[in-house]
Amino acid sequence: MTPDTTTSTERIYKRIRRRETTSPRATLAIILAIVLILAIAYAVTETILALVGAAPLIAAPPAMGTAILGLTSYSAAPVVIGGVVAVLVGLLLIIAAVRPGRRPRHPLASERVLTVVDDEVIASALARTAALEGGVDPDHARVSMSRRSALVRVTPASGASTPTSAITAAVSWQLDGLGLTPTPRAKTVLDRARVGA
Amino acid sequence: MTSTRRGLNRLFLVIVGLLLIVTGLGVIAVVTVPAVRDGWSSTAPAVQRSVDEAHAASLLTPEVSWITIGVIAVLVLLAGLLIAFMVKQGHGRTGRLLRETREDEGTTVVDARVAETLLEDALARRDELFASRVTTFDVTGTPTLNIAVTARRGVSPRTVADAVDADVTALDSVLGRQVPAYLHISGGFRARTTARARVR
Repeated sequence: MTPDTTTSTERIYKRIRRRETTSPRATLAIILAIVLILAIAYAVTETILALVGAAPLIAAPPAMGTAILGLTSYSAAPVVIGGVVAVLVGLLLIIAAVRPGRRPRHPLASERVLTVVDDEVIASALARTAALEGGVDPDHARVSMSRRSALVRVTPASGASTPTSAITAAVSWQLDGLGLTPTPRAKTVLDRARVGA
Repeated sequence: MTSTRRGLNRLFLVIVGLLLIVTGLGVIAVVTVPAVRDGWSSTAPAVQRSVDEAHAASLLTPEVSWITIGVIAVLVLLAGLLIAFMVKQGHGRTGRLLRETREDEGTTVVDARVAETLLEDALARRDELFASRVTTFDVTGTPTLNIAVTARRGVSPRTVADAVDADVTALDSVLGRQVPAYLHISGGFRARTTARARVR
């Protein structure tokens, strides 16, 4: 590969890594666009109804204008509640726009391709390792993943001792081998043993 | 992988959010702050009068005003922009993988389906994968393979990544070129509900 194609591939991989690990905010944007389109459709309908002299669906545009200008003549409570709701929804939208919106995924080191793994897959693999290391049934090892940690919960078989430090070591070793960014830290906790588990 | 303009999505959320906050705060101020309240009450009749006058001055027929027509036009235009904005989400697939022109040999075009089919066939032979799908996306002008695989339950993502890496490297030698490739390993619903794989 020439140096030129290497850098362009790196640029593309960087872009995809960023885009695939964060939310596009498409769902929220589409919902918002649909709400606005419906509102516009309603406004156009009322305007045309007023134009042809038909009865309004709710209120004709001139009546709406008068109602807005006469805002002070209503009792304050419902108007304030409406205003507060608008402010809160607006704040939530801005928070959604500004926060990165990380997806539960981790980039994984690989040679040729750019790899991104769902946390669910990592958790499943770690749970398998934990179950083997702890000598428990696969259904008795559960892992919850976050960006920087992997929490292993093991339900020990009744009467048997379960080596938490050995499980943590095995899971950490597997995590290191995956080369995730960032590498989550493993932690093992024991659930209360159940009779017959 | 898609060409969705995420900055635009977020900008749209910010604009609507700010409009809601400003309107909400304005409405609250009008009914609670005495100074704003008095100002609103005293200006309202004047505004009403000037709107009525503008309406009367722009009459096209005894009932229809230019302003009404203008309002409808602006609203329809806005709705059109919003629809275009929605439709633009999630595109970017391409059918062409490579295109190369040499002065003496003419132009070579490689269809995306060549790589997609070769890779899918290779991946179908991998036991650790539950399902796989290869598509090609145009990422800022460069065709890029999008490999989506569903891993079997309990399989290490390292095993999966190494397997796919090897298959893509094999594809490189067939094509004689390295095409950027993105691998997404997911655990789908079906992989979760079927039996745990026995992998050594």
